[in-house]
This record gives sequence, C-alpha cells and structure tokens, in this order.
Amino acid sequence: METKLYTDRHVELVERCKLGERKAQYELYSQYSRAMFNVCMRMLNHEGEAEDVLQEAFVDAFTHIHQFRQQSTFGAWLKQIVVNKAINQLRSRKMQWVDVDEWLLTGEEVASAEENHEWQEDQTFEVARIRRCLELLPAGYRVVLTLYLFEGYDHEEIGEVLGISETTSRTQYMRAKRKLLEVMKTH
Amino acid sequence: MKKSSDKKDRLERFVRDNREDFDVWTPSDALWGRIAPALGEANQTPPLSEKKNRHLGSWGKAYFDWRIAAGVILALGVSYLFYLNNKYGVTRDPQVALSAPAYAREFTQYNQAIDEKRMELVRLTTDNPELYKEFSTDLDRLEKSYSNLRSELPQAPNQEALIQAMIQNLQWQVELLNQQLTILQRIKQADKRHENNPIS
Repeated sequence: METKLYTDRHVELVERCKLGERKAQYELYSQYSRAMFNVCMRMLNHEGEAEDVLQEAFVDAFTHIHQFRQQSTFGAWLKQIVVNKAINQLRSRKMQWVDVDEWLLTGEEVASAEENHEWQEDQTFEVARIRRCLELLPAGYRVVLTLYLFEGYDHEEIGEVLGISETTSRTQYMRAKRKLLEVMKTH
Repeated sequence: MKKSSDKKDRLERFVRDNREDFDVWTPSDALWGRIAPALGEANQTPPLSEKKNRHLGSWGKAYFDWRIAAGVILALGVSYLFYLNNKYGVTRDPQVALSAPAYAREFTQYNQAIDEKRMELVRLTTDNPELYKEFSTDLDRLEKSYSNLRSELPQAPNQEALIQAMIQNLQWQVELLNQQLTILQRIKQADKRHENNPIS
C-alpha cells in the first residue's frame, strides 16, 4: 500500500528525532516545510502569520514527536498539527471569522448548482487565477475550500477540525466553491 | 473518504491534476533558525549514534583507516624480520652471516640441526654421564676447529675455500651427532631386549 511505503520512508528519521537528534529534525523540516507553508498560506493568506504558525507547528511536532506512533504517515500527522494551528490563528482574528457565517447566510447566492456547472464549462482554469481568486475569498470559505480541494480532507474530517457538522461543511463548501467561481468571472 | 456522490466537477479535477503547481510559496530560509533554538538543547547522544551509524555503514563498504593499515604493515614487517633472522642467523652469528651472506642460510640450517641433535643427545644420555662426556669431547674437537676457521674468516685470502671448510666442518658435526645418536639408540634397544628376556 502506498501509505505503508510513505510511513517506512521516514521511520528512521522519526526515530532519530525521538532521540532529539538535531540533524534528523532538520531533514524532516526540509522535506515538509514547503508543503506545510503552502497549507498555511492558503488558509491564512498572510505571510507573517503563516510563518509563525509553521514555526509553532514544527516546534510542537518535534517536542511531542514521542506521541507520534506511526499509525499515519509523519506528513499526515504534521499536517494535522499545522491545520489546527492555522485554524486557531484564524480564530484569534475573531472578527473576521465570525463574520463569515453572517456573510454566507446573507450572501446573494441565488445561483443554482446547475447554473454553477454551466459557468464552469465556460471558464478556462489557470492555476494563478484560481490562486488569486482564492485569496480574495473570506477566511471561512477559503479554509473549507482549501481543506477539501487541496488537502484532501473529507467533510467529516473538516467538520471535526472546525467543530461543525458534516452537513454544514458540505453546504459551506458548495457555497465557497460557487463564490470562488463567481469571483473568477470578474478577475 | 470522499463519497462518490460528490461527483468531481471540473474545478475539482483541475485542482487535483495541477495540485503541485499551486504550491508556489516558500518559507523564508531564516525560519529554521527560529525553530531550532525553540527545540532546546540538542540531545548529546545524537553525535555518538550518528558516528556509530557512519562506522557501521562504512564497514559494509570498504573500511580504511591509516592507523590500522600502518599497524598491520608494521606487524608484517616485524614478523618478516624475525623470520629472516631465524633463517639467516643474523643475530646468532653476525660475523658469518655478514661476511658470507650467500651461505648464511646454509650455516643456520646446520647450526639448528646441530642444536637439535645435541639436545637429543643430552636427553638420551642423562642416565649415562660418562658416555656423554666421551661423545662431547669428540664433538668439542670439531667445534674448536670450527671456531678457528671462523676467526680466520675476516682475514682469509680465499674466503670461498674457508667457507667451504666451515660448512664441511658443520656437516661432520651433524654426521658425528647422527652416529652418536644411532649408537645410543642401539644401546637402548639392547637394554630393552635384556629387560624383556632376562634369561637369554
């Protein structure tokens, strides 16, 4: 299985990290820092905050590495820490976070799902444009979209990590996607 | 797991297919410099275990260390010198070995044979000191003439002839010892026969 393979690849490095070996820690950091930084950037949309969160996450991961029991890959375990830290960071910006739900509900998205698909057919996607438009979305939308679309979380996992129900996650995602496509029409 | 009912639309497929291209950001190089100090003192064991790993790893390939190589060469050299000395008798009889290096080996061989046979002779004549005395006077005569030849060696006009004479002398010594040993063995056998058949 693919997961097994990934797990095995870092078993030795993780073991050395458990002994507190600085070189092994740096090796794991070099392998994961970029991917994790991109998770942070997509969720937080702010370079300074993203670096702070990444730093905190790695320090946390290495100081608690004895709690990692190889049930998942090291990358998946680390990503969990990163995502949780990023969400906490967003929550500390209270205002914006709470606003999202309001904004969602009052949003003038009357467009149906079918319409939605029609838009998609017309649009040509570009990586840079999607990225730019993602940045324009409110944090709540961005987080759900990021976790589902980019990090491979399912709605159950998103619900868990955000403290919402699976159904809420599902509708949030639908709305977020619609919003993204809408934004993309004008950008 | 994502349910199949969440049928992937174009956006989702596009993101999935171009996932790598979305990771455009890179954290600043200085970030590790902020993380490392927060991890506290690095454990003291790592360099050790790392060293161990390195050594184990290189044993698998070809382990080479100048100190060990030098040690092995030194040991080989010393044992070879020891062997040469044994064979050519450099320290045993330096004068002969140095003035007639071509014959040094031959001299040593004879000398060793003589020593062995002398030991044997001593062992067989422990119960017969008189016989030993008789035997050794014969041998002493030969040895004396050998010493004379040897002392002449440095000034001898014809080295070759003198060396041949010395070798001849050593051969005689060996022959003499052989004869003496044969005599001793015969005596022993005769004694045994007498013991076994006291009547005859």
